[in-house]
Amino acid sequence: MSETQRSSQQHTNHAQHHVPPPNPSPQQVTGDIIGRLRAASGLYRTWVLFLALLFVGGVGGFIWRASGGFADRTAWGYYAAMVMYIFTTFQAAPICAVATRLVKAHWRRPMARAAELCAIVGVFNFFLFLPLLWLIPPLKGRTSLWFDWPLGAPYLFDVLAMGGLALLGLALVWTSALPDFAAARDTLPERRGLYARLSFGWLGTKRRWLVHEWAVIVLGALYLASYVMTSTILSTEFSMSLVPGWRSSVYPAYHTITGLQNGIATTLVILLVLRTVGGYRQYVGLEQFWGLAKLLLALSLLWFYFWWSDFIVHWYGRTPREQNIMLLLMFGPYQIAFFIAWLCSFLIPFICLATNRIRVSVLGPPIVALSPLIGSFFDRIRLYVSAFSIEDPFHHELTQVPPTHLPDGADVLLVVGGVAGAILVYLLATRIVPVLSHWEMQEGILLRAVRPLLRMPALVIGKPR
Amino acid sequence: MRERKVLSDSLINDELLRFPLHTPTWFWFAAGFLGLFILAFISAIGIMVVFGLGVTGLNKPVMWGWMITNFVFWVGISHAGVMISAILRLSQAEWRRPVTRAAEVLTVFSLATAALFPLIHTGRPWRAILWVFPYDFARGIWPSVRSPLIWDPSAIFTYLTGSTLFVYVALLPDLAVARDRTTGWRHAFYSALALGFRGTPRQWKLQTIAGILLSALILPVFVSVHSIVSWDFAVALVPVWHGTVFAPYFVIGAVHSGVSAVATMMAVLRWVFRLENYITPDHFDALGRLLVTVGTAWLYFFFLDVVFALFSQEAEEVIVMQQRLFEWPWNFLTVMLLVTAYVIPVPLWLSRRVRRSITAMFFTSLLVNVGMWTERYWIIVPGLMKKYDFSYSWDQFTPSLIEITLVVGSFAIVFFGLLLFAKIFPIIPIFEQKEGQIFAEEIEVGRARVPAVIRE
Repeated sequence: MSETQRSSQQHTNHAQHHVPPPNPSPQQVTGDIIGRLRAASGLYRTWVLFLALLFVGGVGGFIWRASGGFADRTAWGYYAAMVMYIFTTFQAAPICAVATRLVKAHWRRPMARAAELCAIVGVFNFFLFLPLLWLIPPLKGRTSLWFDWPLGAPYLFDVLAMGGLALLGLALVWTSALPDFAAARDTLPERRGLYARLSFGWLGTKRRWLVHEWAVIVLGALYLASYVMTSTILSTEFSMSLVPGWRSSVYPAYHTITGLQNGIATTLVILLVLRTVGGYRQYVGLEQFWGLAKLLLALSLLWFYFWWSDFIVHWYGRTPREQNIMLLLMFGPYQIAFFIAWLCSFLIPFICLATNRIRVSVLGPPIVALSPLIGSFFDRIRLYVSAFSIEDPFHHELTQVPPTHLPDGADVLLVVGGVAGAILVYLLATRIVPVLSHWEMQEGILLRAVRPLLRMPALVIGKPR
Repeated sequence: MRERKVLSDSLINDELLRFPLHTPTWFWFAAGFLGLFILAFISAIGIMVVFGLGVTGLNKPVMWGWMITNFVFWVGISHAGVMISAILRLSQAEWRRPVTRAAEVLTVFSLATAALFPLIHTGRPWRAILWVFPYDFARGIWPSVRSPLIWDPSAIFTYLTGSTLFVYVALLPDLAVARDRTTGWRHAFYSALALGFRGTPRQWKLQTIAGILLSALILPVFVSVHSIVSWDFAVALVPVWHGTVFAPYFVIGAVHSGVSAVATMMAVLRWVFRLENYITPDHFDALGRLLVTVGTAWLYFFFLDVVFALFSQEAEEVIVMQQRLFEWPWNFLTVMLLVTAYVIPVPLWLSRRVRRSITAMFFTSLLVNVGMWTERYWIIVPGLMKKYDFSYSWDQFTPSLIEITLVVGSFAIVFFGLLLFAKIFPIIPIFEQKEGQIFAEEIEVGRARVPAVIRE
């Protein structure tokens, strides 16, 4: 190839790089998204079976653990860590959809449903959460978010917070998917009965669309507020208030931020699965991975910032109380868990995502996203297992740091089974609810055009309101 | 953006360069009026230097009062620039265009004003050099780098340098426009500042890259500044100060007050400079929506700070918190700060009509800063008043006339700086406006025409 030809080829390649991909036709979108609800693939069935087996193992682990009773709180530490891990991954993921919808980010469209569908796991996690209520000691004589509140605290409020979040999540998914159910009703005759009931007589009148848009935004905002509140309550209830002398006002915010970070990471992994084996290669592309990678980078920095805000005040305070708390949570029996959490939740995602070539790619962000998902798992262990290992939460200060509590067979079964159950619920939900938001994708086609700008084609995005 | 106006390049040049190139009479009156307060400010410093800190309301144990409150307040306001400019630029928010420069300039002047207060507060400002250089070489007595009082100037001057660069880089194309439309000394002045900017593709590319890089680099500095200010308090073992939430709580409070200050300032700019073509109700709508989120986040951190001070049920914390919540005048200030910083403005901003009313946005955003100033005072003073458990050295704080003059004077300094800047440079970025005009498009959806933007 001559120099001129090479240069011309390079110029063409560069120009093509800037050409936005063409819009798929509305019929194609309906076929790809709604049509996929018809039948499950063999791979899907294999995974469902595998996860179901793991979940059954988890049930076995629960029975094993419960046979020892609820008196020994230490034995339930890993179970609590697992429940809070699901809370800070699956139940946080819908916030990706909510936040990007609130700011009207156009790139959210192929990602929004995949993220908000995770809210369904909240119902499953609510049932996993209930046994933890038996492990909370009475309020009298210990520090608590509820002080000495007489009416139902803490049990009633914990149930209301977790149950309310699960219900809100269900409402959000159902409301958001209403037009998609109607599309499925009109497209899939073999499942018409189910989708007719789910779509609640949706006909797509102008008034209905306006109410729908308003409801999705309001329910999303309520879900976000409810998540922050529930995270604040549960993190205080099941870790900080069980450790005498642990007083950190930033801790609930730290817990919430880690949840948001994991929510993004979970969404990234789901998107990779949808792209590679889900058959949505045409819809889930660089724009979504890049957008979420920027958010993950920001959240990884915030992870460090909130941890540092906590650490530096304790480090400078240096009272015996603070030294023991630092020993328990960071530099003592759970130092390995803390170190892995620090590395995986902050350092690895920060370094990787600060690199342009990794951040601006399809494979880079979801692979990096596995790091905070691992880091967060160890973070939950250092926070919850350590708190559950305190024998006497009624002391004023922590005077003796308990040794490391290592998992036994029941713990392994419980944790693996719990996480497998959460993924299983998500997979089952995708058989009923389209995993890509059909109406948002169709709206995106209407509001997207390619126009010439100077000598280049440019992407034009409609901003209706 | 709904209210899109098609403006020609020459009209944009004429309207945005009108004030820098023509001086109305009111400018001299405004400058003179603000100058009087600045004179009073300088006099108050003079009195304080001559007679010592005894002329203030400071006492033992309340060694930090209005001056430090004012310092924290102005550092907070300085968070406007980066929040509006850097974050909105990185997120490609189209509505940022007319707002960015005023916000950045507000950052520079408020930060410079804030930096004055710790210096004044020393009573002997010339000794501040000893914060940086050793007291005594021979005995090796160095300032402790572990002290937040050393981190403070480092963070503030880094932020000030970054913000000034940020303003300057974004100003370059507009300086070139001003250069090409002026003669005589003005031409020479703008030529020198424009650094030979001619608008070649390479220069535009470099200017854009510099803007994006500075936006990204200044973000950590922006967060660190108010975090470090918060650690001035939090790393001490003073009751109600020693809270881990202080850093994010201060930062979010700063953003709340900073963005509110931008809304107030945009209303004033629109009224004073007749910028109806550029600053539209759409911009206030967007600012209002941003403020609902920021304000609610601030309330969350406020709640964390109060609840977890009581959580431990330690006597010192409970006593100070009781004083804040139940004793006069602190109980009044508690209600006042909550009502002015959140209860009135945020629910009002939920209404689209309020967000799009410039008068309503002016007053509600002003109210937020009344609340935020009160909040800083409410955070700083009560903890000191009952600090010493066993000495019973408890006292109140009442500001003297000197401190009142200094606080009022600081507002005059910032307003004067903004006025002077707007007199010399275009306060709305000319090049951003023109770029916005190019990026404005329309899409046909059915029979409707929907406003659209070309993706950058």
